[in-house]
Amino acid sequence: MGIEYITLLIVLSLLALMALGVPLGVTTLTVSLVTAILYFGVRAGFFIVAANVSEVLHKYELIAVPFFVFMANVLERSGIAKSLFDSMAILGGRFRGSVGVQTCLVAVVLAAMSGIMGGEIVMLGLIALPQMLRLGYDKKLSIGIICAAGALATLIPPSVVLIIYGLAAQVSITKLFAASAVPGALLASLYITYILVRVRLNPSLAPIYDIPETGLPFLQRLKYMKGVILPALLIGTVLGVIYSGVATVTEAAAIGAVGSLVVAGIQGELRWTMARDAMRQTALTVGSIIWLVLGAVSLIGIYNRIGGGEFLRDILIGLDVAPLMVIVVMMLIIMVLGTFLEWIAIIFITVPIFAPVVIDLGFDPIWFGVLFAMNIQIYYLSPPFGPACFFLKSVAPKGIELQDIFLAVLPFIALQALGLSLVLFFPELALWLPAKLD
Amino acid sequence: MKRLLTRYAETMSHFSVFIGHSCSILYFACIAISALEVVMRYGFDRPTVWSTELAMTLCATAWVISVGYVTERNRHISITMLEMLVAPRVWRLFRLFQQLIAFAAIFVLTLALWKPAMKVIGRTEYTGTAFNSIQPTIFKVMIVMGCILYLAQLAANIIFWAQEEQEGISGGN
Repeated sequence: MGIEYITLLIVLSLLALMALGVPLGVTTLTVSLVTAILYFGVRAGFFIVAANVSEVLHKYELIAVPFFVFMANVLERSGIAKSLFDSMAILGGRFRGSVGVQTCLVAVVLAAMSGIMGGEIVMLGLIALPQMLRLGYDKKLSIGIICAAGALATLIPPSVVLIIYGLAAQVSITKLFAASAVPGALLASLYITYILVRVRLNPSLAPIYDIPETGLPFLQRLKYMKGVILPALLIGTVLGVIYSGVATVTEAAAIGAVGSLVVAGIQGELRWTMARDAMRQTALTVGSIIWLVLGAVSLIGIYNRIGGGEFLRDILIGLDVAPLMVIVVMMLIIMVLGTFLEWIAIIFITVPIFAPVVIDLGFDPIWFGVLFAMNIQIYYLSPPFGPACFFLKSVAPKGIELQDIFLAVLPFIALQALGLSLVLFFPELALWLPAKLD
Repeated sequence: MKRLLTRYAETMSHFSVFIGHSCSILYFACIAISALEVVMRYGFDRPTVWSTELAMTLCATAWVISVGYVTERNRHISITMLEMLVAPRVWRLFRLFQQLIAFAAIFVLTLALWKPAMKVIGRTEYTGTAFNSIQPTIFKVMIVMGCILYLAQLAANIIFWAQEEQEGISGGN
């Protein structure tokens, strides 16, 4: 049987098992086992699968993932989001749309501290959303801000998506972290600009509100910096040691995790039960991720051995279009996969095939990694499975339905597509900072 | 027989939760070890030869053997779109199918990993680094243990599923 038919059978099997609700890790593992046994026989098939699966545990960079997840879990429980939000509200002053803008800025700071998206959306959904609704902000605008800004955690360094991409594409995670900083700031700026323009055109979307402290002169408002200083120190430490080359990404993640406990201590929230719950949540989150990674690595390992990788690479390189259009095609494939696959599976299935093509076409895989992470932003928001929408729904006040959330995120998806296009056509936006750090 | 199966399923679930909670402490140990390495390297100019391998070993161990806990809590990532589209009774059958497929896949994976694990138990493999730990041996054995825990918890989940059927309970366990 030709590789094209085997590819088709693999895709159909994956879709069928996933549709029936089989866990994604088991789905990819099942398909890889069946393919290996049918193609190589039981003995050789077992050997290849065992080698592929065991290899995953030897990846040192992967242990940064539980550290960043633990850090996010501690920060989520330490009340830092609340104090950060309050401080920003006072420091930001009084202008139309201020709470929306502050929510975006808080989301950027939280993203730079956590690296995972779910917790951040839950935090913003619990703190910022009720505040905006209480002040009379438009429901859809408020929801859209929370989902879009909360999803920035997967793009702004340190992002777990970039760590996994770096492992799959075998590129420097430190460079990926440097490359994603400007595009992350770009997306946040697009959101803020959109908020300011919309409330200017339609003031009823965001009434101006009064907090007595916002009327104080700026110098007096500076005393409310307390809630901003600790997060800034933590971010500065983690990203500082990574960018300066003092520590590896994994060691920086460990420093961040210890730092988050120190921050929780200073906030008066460090208790054994809090740390214990954060550790248990970390075990659950990471425990589910690792089996997904094992399955995906096993599948792509087998698929490459039977010539599937080469087959797909030939198709992509053979496309009769400009090299940049091949990248656009790859982005579209990732977008389509994002409508039904988990991001880790997308990375391990597409990146080992796409990354060599990107290099063959003369592009930088670091830049492609940033495009990938920006594409994942779109996946997080896109109906019908956009995880950000479901995270927000789980904590949204009564009366906010899933369809409200899906409608609210549409303008922000357009902004994400705009941001993605800017980085696609102006690669310097991503590659400027890594070049400076070199 | 029914009581025996129930006893097994409950004991296994408690054991999986116990292992999962214990594993969570291993992550904390990894964090402490990795942070200590930075302090030793830059604070005292005395980098260790053991921290990286030890952190990796503890972390990988926690990863693979917390699988029973993840399975008991039903936290494996899956797409459950059909749950909204089909009748609850049909979805119950799908849930059984999901667990049986998972059981079969992990059973075959265990068979694939069994021989390498037995081989390293007979002849220990070392990393060959300055620390020269038995990390490869631990990994190969631990991943088989993880698979066995996964299978044992899946069996418990299937027993819970059958009990729901008898007691007429709907929904997840």
